[in-house]
Amino acid sequence: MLDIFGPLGGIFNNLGTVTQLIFTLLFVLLFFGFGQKLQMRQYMWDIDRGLRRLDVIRTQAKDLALKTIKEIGKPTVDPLPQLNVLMESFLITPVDMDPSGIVSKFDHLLDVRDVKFKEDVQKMAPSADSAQVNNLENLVEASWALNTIFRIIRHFYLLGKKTNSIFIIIQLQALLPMIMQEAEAYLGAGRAFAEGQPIGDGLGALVASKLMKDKAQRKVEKDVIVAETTLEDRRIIALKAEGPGGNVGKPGDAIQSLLQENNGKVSMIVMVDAALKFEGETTGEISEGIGAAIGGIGTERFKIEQEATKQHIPVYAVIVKESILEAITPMKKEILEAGDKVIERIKNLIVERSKPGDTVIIAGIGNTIGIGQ
Amino acid sequence: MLISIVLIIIAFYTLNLALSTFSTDFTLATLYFTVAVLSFGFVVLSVFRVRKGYALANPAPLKVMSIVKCPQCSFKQIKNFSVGDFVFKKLGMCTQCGVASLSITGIYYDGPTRR
Ligand SMILES: [Zn+2]
Repeated sequence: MLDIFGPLGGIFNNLGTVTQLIFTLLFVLLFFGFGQKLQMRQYMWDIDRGLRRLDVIRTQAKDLALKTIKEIGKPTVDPLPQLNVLMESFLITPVDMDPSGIVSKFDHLLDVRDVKFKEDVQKMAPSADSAQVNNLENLVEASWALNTIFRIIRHFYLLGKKTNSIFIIIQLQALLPMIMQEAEAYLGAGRAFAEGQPIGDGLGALVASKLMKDKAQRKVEKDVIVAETTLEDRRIIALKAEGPGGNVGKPGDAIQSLLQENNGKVSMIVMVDAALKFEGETTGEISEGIGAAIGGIGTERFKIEQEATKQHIPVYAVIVKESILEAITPMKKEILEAGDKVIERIKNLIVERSKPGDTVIIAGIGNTIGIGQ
Repeated sequence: MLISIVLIIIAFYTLNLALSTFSTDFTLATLYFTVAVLSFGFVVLSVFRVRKGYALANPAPLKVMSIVKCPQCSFKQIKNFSVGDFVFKKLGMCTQCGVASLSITGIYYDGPTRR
């Protein structure tokens, strides 16, 4: 029957060879022709999966915020529309073409934002007391952060898809694991804020509250509590944000006004804070350094550095290492236990670096949620 | 998804070819068989990866504990965190010595080590 093809019959006869040829061609095409396209497709799937996960996370966080607001705040009207408005809110940073004076501009903007956020939350949750409003504000902020992360990732994903740009997709895919980790951390933070549990970042506040426990306390600046005590024959002025609501206060302003109050009498400043560890380092490890240990956008650090420089006061930092996840989720046991060790380290530091009778400011930096004084 | 479907078709096709050529050309059959196994393997692997991606969620509530201590006596108790607890919250009378100095001295997360 194959004879009708004449000499060509041989080719059809050897079907195996033809299939082999097709497969070879297919593989060459697959790996050289469409290799990059395939890779991009795979990256896009990864990002798509991450994006869906991010969507789930942000929805969970928002639901939690809504549920907590309803539980604690007992609103008379549905808080959802107001919450949606807050979720999409933004901050326009000041112009930095002429950077002189930008710190106070930033500071002012952040103050306005803070007050507005707090008032909006109070409006949504009329029955909440001030500590609860602070907690709710933190919760809404965590939820806002997750919403913003989702929006940015979705933007670049769709942009990459639309423009077929492999470089946008590759960058996104490379950053995705870190972004996912951060998002998970924010969700954990949201849960802690909803319940008012201390978080890893609260270590500085914990140390300060241990120092100022049962001492006469007064409030200075915005949401900062100050108390005097003695340690190794030195006069200690300890300060922290006012707890137990979620709050970081304005330690920069507080230290500035304390330094001005005790003009020339303060011999050193010790700042205690939680700091991000590098991968592979142990959580709860303490290390000492020089400089103002305080996070955020830099406005508070600027104020401390400026006033300390003016009065020639050395600023020391004692930090406890933790990961981003540990910093914003409920405080781990290792971090809690590091608190007492930090006090010992501070004692050593002030014995070495100051004389008996000197005045030392010890600033506990960090979110004081779940930590009173 | 598309690639997985194509690969499954290829896998079935080559498997069929492998089985039909098994008796006549052993080397070719082995080649077909290898292609089939590789295609299947790839599909299974990608499905597995998808599963892992979705299984990331950990909705289990964290175990957070409060340490209750009395500075007057040696009384110490570790209880589950309840909403409203905070560090240095005064809890009133100590059940052991009767002095009103009981307070929460620490709150921590007690659970499996995370990343
Ligand atoms: Zn007792």
